[in-house]
Amino acid sequence: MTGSQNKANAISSWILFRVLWRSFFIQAASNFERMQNVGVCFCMTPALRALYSGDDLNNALKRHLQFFNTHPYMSGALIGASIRIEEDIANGIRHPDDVCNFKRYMMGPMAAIGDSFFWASLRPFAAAWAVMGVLSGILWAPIGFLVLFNLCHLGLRTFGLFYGYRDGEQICERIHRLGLVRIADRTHYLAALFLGATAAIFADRAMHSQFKLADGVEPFLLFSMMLIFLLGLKRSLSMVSLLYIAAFGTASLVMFLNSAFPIM
Amino acid sequence: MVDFSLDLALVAGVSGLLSLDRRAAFQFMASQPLVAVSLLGFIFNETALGLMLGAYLQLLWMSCVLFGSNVPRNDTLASVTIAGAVFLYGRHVGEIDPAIWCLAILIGAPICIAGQWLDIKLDHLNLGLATQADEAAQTGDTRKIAFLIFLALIRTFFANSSATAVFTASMLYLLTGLQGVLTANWTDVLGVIGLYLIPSLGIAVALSMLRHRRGIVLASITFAVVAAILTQGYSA
Repeated sequence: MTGSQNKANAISSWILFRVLWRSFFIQAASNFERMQNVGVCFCMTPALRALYSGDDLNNALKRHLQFFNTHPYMSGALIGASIRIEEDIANGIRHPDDVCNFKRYMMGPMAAIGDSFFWASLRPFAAAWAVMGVLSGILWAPIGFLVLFNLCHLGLRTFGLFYGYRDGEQICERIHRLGLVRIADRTHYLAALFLGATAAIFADRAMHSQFKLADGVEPFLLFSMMLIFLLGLKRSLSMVSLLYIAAFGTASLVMFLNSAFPIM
Repeated sequence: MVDFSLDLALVAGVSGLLSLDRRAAFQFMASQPLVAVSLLGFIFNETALGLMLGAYLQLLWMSCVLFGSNVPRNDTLASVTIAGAVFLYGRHVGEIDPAIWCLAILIGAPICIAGQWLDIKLDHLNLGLATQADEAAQTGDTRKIAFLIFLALIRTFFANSSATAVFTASMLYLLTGLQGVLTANWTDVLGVIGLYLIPSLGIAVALSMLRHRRGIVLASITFAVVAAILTQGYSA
């Protein structure tokens, strides 16, 4: 640990901001072997340079080039806590393996929370709202989508990094207490509401188009097709194959009807 | 010809930037079809069409999510290519009607698979960067590690821009060719596909993301209530 002792308070807010900025590129060099390892090492560099020099810096860089894969928005928390552990290592309080073990054990659970909250809940919810907004004539709905999503994204990234540095490993408990999984569960219902309304707007558009079928049949047709497609998707058929199968079926049907019942 | 090339370069450039947002940098979700296509529509002065097309494409690719180490279909590349071809058609070939954008979606949907293949190839190429990062760490060369990140970003940008340029130009060529042979029957078919098939498939894809069956029931009830209100509104 030569040249690395007595590094208490070596990490300034400016360094943390630099780490935060770099955390936006965590997936830039993502690869199949060690996933986000180059990105994490790049993020940690300003903090590691403040804590170490010489061989200690080389060893610290190598520690952070090991396998790493988590949700990109949750990486702030893990990186913040890792910086705290590195500070302890530099001060001789902890063993260098501690930071590797912390990342190894926590990246999976953090990824699960991030996937569940951001990818599986917030994104569909915000997108469903924005699509409904666009179809209802709210022209700024895409901007609303970005604002809504990024308030949570940037908030959690920044909170995670700064509180992660302050609390160390306790950040995981803090994130757990935010109840993101419970919130995610509730946003599913809101997304369902918006999607139902969106489908009704589509049905209304069909009813007032040149391709309307008969009074009131369009919503039933749209709803039935929706359920058939949903069944197909649940049976692992891809969206593209369903699109082509249905397009082929529609083309055959319309051609047949046009030839069997020509409009005079 | 110069105008067309500049427009194509603009579409490719926007696509390259959005591809960075998709995976490599920031991930502000500007690469989501709704935002990306609306942005292109705004650039090409087709804001209303951009918003509408973006909404359709957003629903169709709602389930493209980067879970864990999974590489999903590339919704950004497909959406930008479809929208780019439609807007370039409107600017350089003729008027955009529902048959044209519907045809563009049908032709352009498989591009998401090509985009997925491109993402996998880029991930394989990044393995070389990881090895170079190991060498840089041996000597404590932190500038080299930063340069590797920059290299990965540049590579992602150019790979996606080039793919968009090639796909958009090919799709525009196809659209122009097919438009000439579209009979009234085919216009009807595309109209029905655009009005019924694509929205219902899009909603189904979005509903398949819901974890609870109760969500689907709730969506069905909302559908019935809103549809009834809208119908009543018109009859009143």
